[in-house]
Formats: sequence, structure tokens, C-alpha cells
Amino acid sequence: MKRTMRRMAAAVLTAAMAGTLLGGCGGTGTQGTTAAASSAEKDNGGSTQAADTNKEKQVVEFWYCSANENATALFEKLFEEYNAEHDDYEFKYVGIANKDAKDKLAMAIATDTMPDVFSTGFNSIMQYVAQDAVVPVDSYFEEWEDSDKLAKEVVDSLRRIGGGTLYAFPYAYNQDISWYNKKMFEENGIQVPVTQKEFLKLCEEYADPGAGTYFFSLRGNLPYDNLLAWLFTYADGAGYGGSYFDDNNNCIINKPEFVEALDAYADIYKNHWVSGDCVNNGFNEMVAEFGSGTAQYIMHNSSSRPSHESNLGEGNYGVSKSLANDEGRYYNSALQSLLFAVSKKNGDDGDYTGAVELCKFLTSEKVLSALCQFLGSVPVNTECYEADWFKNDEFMPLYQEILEDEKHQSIQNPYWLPDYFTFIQNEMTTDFQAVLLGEMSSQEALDHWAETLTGYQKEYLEQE
Amino acid sequence: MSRKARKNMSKLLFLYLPLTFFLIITLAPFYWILVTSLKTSAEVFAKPLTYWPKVLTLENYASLFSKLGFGKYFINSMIVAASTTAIISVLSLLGGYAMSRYRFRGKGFMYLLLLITQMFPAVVLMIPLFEIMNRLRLINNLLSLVITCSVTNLPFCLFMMMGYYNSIPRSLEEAAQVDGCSLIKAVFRVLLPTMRPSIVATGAYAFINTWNVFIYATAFITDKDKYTIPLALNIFQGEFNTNYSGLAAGCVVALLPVLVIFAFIQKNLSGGATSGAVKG
Repeated sequence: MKRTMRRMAAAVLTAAMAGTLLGGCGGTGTQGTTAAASSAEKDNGGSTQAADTNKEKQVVEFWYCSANENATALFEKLFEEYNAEHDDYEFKYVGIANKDAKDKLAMAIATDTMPDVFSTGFNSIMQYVAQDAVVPVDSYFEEWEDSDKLAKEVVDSLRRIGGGTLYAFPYAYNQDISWYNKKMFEENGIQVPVTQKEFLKLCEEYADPGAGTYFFSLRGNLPYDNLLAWLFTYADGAGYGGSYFDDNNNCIINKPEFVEALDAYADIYKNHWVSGDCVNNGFNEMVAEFGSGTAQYIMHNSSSRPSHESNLGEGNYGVSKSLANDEGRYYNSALQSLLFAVSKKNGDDGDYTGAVELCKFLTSEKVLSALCQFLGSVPVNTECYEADWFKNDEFMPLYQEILEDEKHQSIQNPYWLPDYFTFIQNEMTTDFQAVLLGEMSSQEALDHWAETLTGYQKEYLEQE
Repeated sequence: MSRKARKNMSKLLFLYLPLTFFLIITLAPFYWILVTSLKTSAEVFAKPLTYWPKVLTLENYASLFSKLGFGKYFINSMIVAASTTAIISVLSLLGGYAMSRYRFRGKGFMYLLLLITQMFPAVVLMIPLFEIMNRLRLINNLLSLVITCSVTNLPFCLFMMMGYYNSIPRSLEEAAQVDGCSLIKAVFRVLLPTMRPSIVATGAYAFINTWNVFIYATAFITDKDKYTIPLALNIFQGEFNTNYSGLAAGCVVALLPVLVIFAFIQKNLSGGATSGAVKG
């Protein structure tokens, strides 16, 4: 009897487990979305029609993918005020740490739980376009009466990346510049270098491997913007006519002028004019060398300002234009815009009015003035340029000046190629490190890059 | 040199010096985290390096709790870790006994199945588990972490308990049964007291794994109020700015429960970790 009871109990438990398993696995995608819908009331993920006490309010979820404690506090305050003005929408802010953002968005795309709006960069937008995860916003942009307030150069640059289509609302951009340690420069009587030749002389003069101090901190890991700026400036473009590719769609990056430029850059490391760690220096390490006084000069963009403020203190660091060649020309990667993209969560014919409304708010002067002040990025909304904070800022007017400088040349990197960002993170980095270590020649590295990019471009054109 | 002196020299060279060296290597990072947490942001990068703060500050700890609301994340982590530990302890205790003492059809297959689950990296399971939790409406709910951590840690804890049970002769509970105890009473009154170190070791393993869980937390939790400590620490690392001293303070706070637990269970832990290793 006992044995029978035990067997029955085991059978019932097994059936219950199986039932739970099947119940959990069963159901369609819409059921999952519905589940997410009602859970949105309880602040769960996903955003759909919320069946709460106010049946009219539609929840619009925004992921800010570079969240930190300051950004989160700012956005929560702004959203609270904005929600108070709206009866039709409830705008919800979610802060995602930058390190996790790519994986979280990939998972959200795979599981159909994308937010309505998310922040991203110009270098990633085409990857989301390739996954059919974002909505083209041309029509919304053209209907928007305030669209002309967004800086035309930034919008045009973004359109070029999208092959003529606008896939997001730009809200800020990072300007490539050089940072220098003002205090150390004054103590050593150093003039801020204007040309690459002046810079190289200072690298040699102030390199002191024994004391572990140098003039410059070279970025060996993910070097792309600094490296490309150096190559194109040194080679004065080598016939660059606005495209990486010649008339036959072959990449021009392995021209002899660029090879000579890469040799000159790699020699900075090989001559021990920078620390031995530089080959592995990423952003954090480069900024740490600058912040600790190991190096007095780095090349980066305007967004690292909060780091220098925190590490060196106000007034102890300065900004200068990127290094120029003997003709006075300097090349930088084209405007690196930061974007708000509308996800295609409701399909091709869905209603994205709420999401677009949010993008309009997020690109307004009020939001960008607050956000860009601590980001260090340049706001895209031109109304911000009339604000006192912008005019009185130590560096913002210089960024604007660079934009209008005839000597400043933009390199339109081929971010329209979906694999380009992966290429510069992987192959470009490893090949560059091999060149620094003497394991690869500059010619070999640039030949490899030219071959790879030519292949990508051909694939892209075939798909077009 | 006398025999005693030779012995002392030998101890110094082959015991104390290597141990001291090993201790320094092991403790140095912890010391550095502690010291960094007591420095201002500017001093973190000051040259020359300071091995003790010039200006000692508790500002980083204060802002953790006042500005960041770290107390909330601490409680969330504690809820998840404590719940998971309790569930795993009970289930592995009972399941381990069954796997050790009973012969039943499918035992080998069950064993293999449990073993196979340990071969999947967490990253591979992230998307399917997210789908499951989403359909169960458990996204942004700490229960999703409790369930996931219980399920992923249970097999290994079960094997641990199985090993401990194997090291205890059956004659122990058989003798208790001969004296009139039922099987359940024999297990709880006779076996469990001898198994205490093993239970503590299993519980500690489950607690630490759950306390540190990040991959699943980042998948299931986006609501700031439900963050656990590993997720909260991530926020310190911005795209272009890392608050190192704040991050260090967060790490110290995250370490404390683990250190406290180890201090209390230390005696039990060293015995329990190896008690199932050798039979007989």
C-alpha cells in the first residue's frame, strides 16, 4: 500500500513538472508581448498599450545606453517633468551601462522585446539597420517644424552613413581634438604643438623611460580614430576625394603615402617615445596615463572631458585642434554623432508617433543643454549655441570653430558597411599592434585592410 | 649549524617565505581596492603613487548609500542569495541522499543529464532563459534570478552532497533504524549532524555563486530598483568616464557579506570541502 502511494505521488509530481515545463514553453510570440504588456504596469520590460487605471496612456520606453549615476539622475528628473505635461503617453526611462548595452540590445532584438527608443552611436546604427531593427525617420523628420534646428552638417553626415536615408535623430557629436596637461606644459615651458613635426620633436625630447614619463600616450587598443587622423593628415589625404574607395571601388588605404604615415606613427612606439604598455592601451589606460602625469598629451575626442576634470582638476587641462600637416590641413573622422533611434518593434506599418515625440523632446534645447554640459559632447540643436553655458564654456566655441574651419577635412569612414565597426575593433587593432611590435610591416597591415574593405564594399554594392 | 638551526632555516625557506610571498600576491589587490576606496578621485591618478591616502575620505562610501541608493541593491542581492542558498541546501540535501543511497531506473541517465547541464556557459543560456522568464512575466522580478541561480547551481551542489553521503557508511542510519528510528528520523537525527561541515560548504558555494551572479542579472533586470550589486557596480563604468574610487568602495561593500560568512563558517568549511573526497 505504502509503495503504491509512493508511486502515485511520484507520478503526480512528474506530471506536474511536465505540465509546468510545457506551460512555460508554450504560447506564441504575441502571448509573450501581451505578458510583457500587463507586466509593464509593474515596471517590467517591454512597452505596449498599458491597461492601467488611465486607459488612454501609451507607455513609451527609452533605453539610454551610456547610463551612469549622473545621467540617470538627470533623465529621471527630465522624464518626470515631461510626463507631467502628457496625458496621452507615459515615457519611461531605463538606464543601461555602456558595457552591457550591445549585448542587451542584441538580446532584445532576438527576443522581440526592444524598447521604443534607444541611444546608440553613428558607428553602430548600420548594424541595427542590417538587422531590420530600426525605423527610417526621414518622413517624421521632414514633417517636424523644428528639424532645421539640428545642425545640418551632422544630419547630412548621418544621411551619408545611411546611404541617403536618415535612420535616427542625432543629438550630439564628439569632436576629435587633442588634450594636453596645461599645468605641466606651463612648468616645462612647452608650446602646444600645432603640426605633426612639432609633435614628434616633443615626443623625442620628453621621453624619459627611466623615470617612466613621456610626452604622449599612444592608444594601441581600438586606435581607429587617432590612427586614421594621423594617416590622412600625414599623407594629406593621398588623393582622398571624399571616399575611401576609388572609381573601381578599391580601398585606397594601402597607398605608399599611407604606408609612410603608418611607419612614422609606429616609430613613436618603436623608438620608446611612449610607455611600453601603450600597445595595449585602450581608452581607460590612455586616460589614466594622462591623468597620472605619465603623459602630457593625448589624442581623443571631446567626450573624455569629465574624466580629465575628475583626474586633473579644473583648469589643469587644455584642448587644441588635431595636429596638422605642413600645409596646415588636419583630417579627422567625420562627425561622430550620438543618436536616438526608433526601434521597429511594431513592424513596418506600425505607429511610431509616441517614439518620435520622445525623440523630439530628447533633442530639444532644454534636454541637450543639460545633458551635454556634463557629457562634454557638442549638442546638435543649434539653439544650444545661443545659450550662456555654451558661449561661456571653455572649449565648446573651439569645437564650433573646427566645424567651420576650411583647413579641417572630414574623413567619411565607411560605416555604411555593416561589418566595418567589427573590422576596426578586431582586425585593425590586432594588425596595428603587430606593426608596433615589429611582427608585421606597415605595408602588410594596410594591404590587409585594403583587401578586407574592398571585399566588404563589393558585397555591399551587390546587395544594393 | 646545529640540527635545530637547520630545521628552523628549512622552515623559513620552504614554509614561511613562500607563504608570505603567496599572501602578499593574494592580498595585494584587496588592499589596493580598500586604499582606492578611501582616496579622492584626483589622488587615484596622482604621481607618485600613494599606498595610503594622503587625504583619507569616506565620501565614496557616503555617496554610495546617499546618492546611489546602494542599500537597496545590497538588500536585493541578499534576498536573491539567501533564497537561493535555502532552496539549494534543502534540495541538494534530499536529492543527494537519493542519488547516493538508492538504486533506481534511470539513475545513470539522471546523473549524466545533471552533468551535461554544467557544460553550458551562462552566455549560451541567456536568450532562452530570458524568453522563459519573459513569458512567465518574471522580467524585472528578483524571483527570476532566484529560480535561475537555484537551477544552475543545484546540479553541482547535488554532486557535492552525493559525495559527502557516499563517504558516510550506510551502517550509521541502519544502526539507527535497528534502534527504532524511521528512515527520515535516522537521516535528520543521525546523518545530518555528521554532515554539518558538508552542508555549510555547499551552502557557502551556492551563496557566493549567487551573490556574484551578473550574466543573468543583466539579462533579466533593467529596473534600477531591482538591481543587484554586480549590476549596480557596472553603472560606475561609463562609456568615457570611470569613477574608480566609487567603484572600489562598491567592491568593498560587495565583499563584506562574503567575508563575514567565511569568518563564521571557516571551521566547518575546510572540513566540509574535502569530506566527500575519499571513501572509507
